[in-house]
Amino acid sequence: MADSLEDLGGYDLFPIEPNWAVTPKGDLDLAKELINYPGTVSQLIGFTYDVPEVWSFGFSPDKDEEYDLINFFVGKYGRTGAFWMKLPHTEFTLTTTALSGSTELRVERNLAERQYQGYERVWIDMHTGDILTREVNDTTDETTYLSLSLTTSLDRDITLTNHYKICRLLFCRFDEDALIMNYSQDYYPQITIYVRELVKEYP
Amino acid sequence: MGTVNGIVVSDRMLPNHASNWVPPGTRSTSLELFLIANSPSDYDAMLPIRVGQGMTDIAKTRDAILHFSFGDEFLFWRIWYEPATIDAGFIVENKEYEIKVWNAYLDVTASITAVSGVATDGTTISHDSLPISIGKFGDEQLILTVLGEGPPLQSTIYTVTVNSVDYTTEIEGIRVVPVPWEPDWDSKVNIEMHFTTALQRNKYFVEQRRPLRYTPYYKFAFRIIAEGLSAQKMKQTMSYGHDKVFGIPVFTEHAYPASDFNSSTTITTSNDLTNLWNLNNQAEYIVIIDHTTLQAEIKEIDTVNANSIECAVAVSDTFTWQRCIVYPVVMCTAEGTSVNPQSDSVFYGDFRMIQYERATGV
Repeated sequence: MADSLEDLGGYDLFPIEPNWAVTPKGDLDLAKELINYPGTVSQLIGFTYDVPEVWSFGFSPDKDEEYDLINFFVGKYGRTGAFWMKLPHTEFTLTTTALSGSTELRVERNLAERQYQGYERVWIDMHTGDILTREVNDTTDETTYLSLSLTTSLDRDITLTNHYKICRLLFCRFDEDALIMNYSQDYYPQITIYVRELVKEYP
Repeated sequence: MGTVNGIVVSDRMLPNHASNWVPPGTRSTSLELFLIANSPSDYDAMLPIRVGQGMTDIAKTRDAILHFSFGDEFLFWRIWYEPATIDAGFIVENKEYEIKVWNAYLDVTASITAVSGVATDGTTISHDSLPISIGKFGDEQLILTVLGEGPPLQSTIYTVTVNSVDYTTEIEGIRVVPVPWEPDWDSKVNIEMHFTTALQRNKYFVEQRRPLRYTPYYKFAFRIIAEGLSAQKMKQTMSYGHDKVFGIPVFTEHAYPASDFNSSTTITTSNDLTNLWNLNNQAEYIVIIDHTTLQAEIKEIDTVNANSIECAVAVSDTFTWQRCIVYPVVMCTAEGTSVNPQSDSVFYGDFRMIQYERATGV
């Protein structure tokens, strides 16, 4: 089969895979404020429920990937353009097979429903190398599993053994206006990319 | 009753708008009276005197034509001279430009009596021997050449005297200093591409973003290790180029010539060029470098193909093609340079360069 890229709202996917030799790093941009006078009790004020994730990834692209990466960065004008970034780590663990045509993924209860905002996307990394992207339009804790309701139905069976991982797909922009490439030879530069989630702009 | 607002004499093509005594097809002038109605009822009263039809005797009104043809007003009866300015851009090789003089007088000849220049180093101008007579409605061309070799900043004015009137052409351009050494990969070659974004964000993470530029600008940082005479040349080049423009190779995008390219505009390469982003998308120039002899020549790119680079002008130096590497070039100024001698003859040269983007005409 082929990739099944759904619910992306016309935005591009970041074109290359990160290098795990450089540990990805994720921060949350906190949106709270503590108000107090010195020596008094505090008041905690939260500004917003959805806080952006800010990630850094290392890349060591070959020449073809380097071309794609530069082309992508230039096409976004640095921090201006938005795109989808595949977070590389497992976010959900499937509990039962999701059949083709289904609009539900049953995953291990991981408290994701607490922070679910309604715009989340997931991507599924298949053993075939194909990628599926879907919007999660609801989460329900069913006591034995967490139900992720999908906007677009699956186009194939997702079994416990035919995929590598189910991960978050982040809607984001570059967090720096510079693409800095360090070369020890003319190939495989060391590049660190910083991205910031655009929590108010999910399509 | 309406009032006469004016009389308009206008050209019309007959016979549609003329009295029958004017030969068909004759270009004529007709007279029209235009009245301004003071009230709606005036229109009726005006109708009988809406004249419009040809009522003019051409023979009697010839001298009363009020405006001339476009040619008479805007083209003829003067000397045309161009260009007033020549922007030679980054000067990496000889470039020829034409200075044109057009005698647009239909009945008299013109004469170029003098050609002079200020700060003409780096340029030549060729023309017929003076004085040059330009026939009626004739033209003359002077060939101005901006030479590949010359002062780092070209700022020249040529004055051409035609019929005792001085006309000037101002030439601007920048010569580029090549950097023909290989970088020290062990200390890493750093290439940065920068954008600038106007970004506003509130504490709820709502953002507005606008790009302040649509192409990246470059920064380079690299080290060169040179020894002996090569090290001395590197130091002198650093010093000479402190206020000039360097042609910095994008060291990570090699093109290896596959055959002799001397005196040719085509450089055929043995490696695939399609995955070299800067060469295909950003670069306007390449530099051909023989790292062994430090021979370098910068050429303007015409087109880049999968296995060849077409230059705008043929390669002029003579290269040993087997030793050459071709790189895309970014024009840069020095942000910082330093020389660190490791012995009496081995130098580390550290270069920090930032792309130089010319303002047009500067």
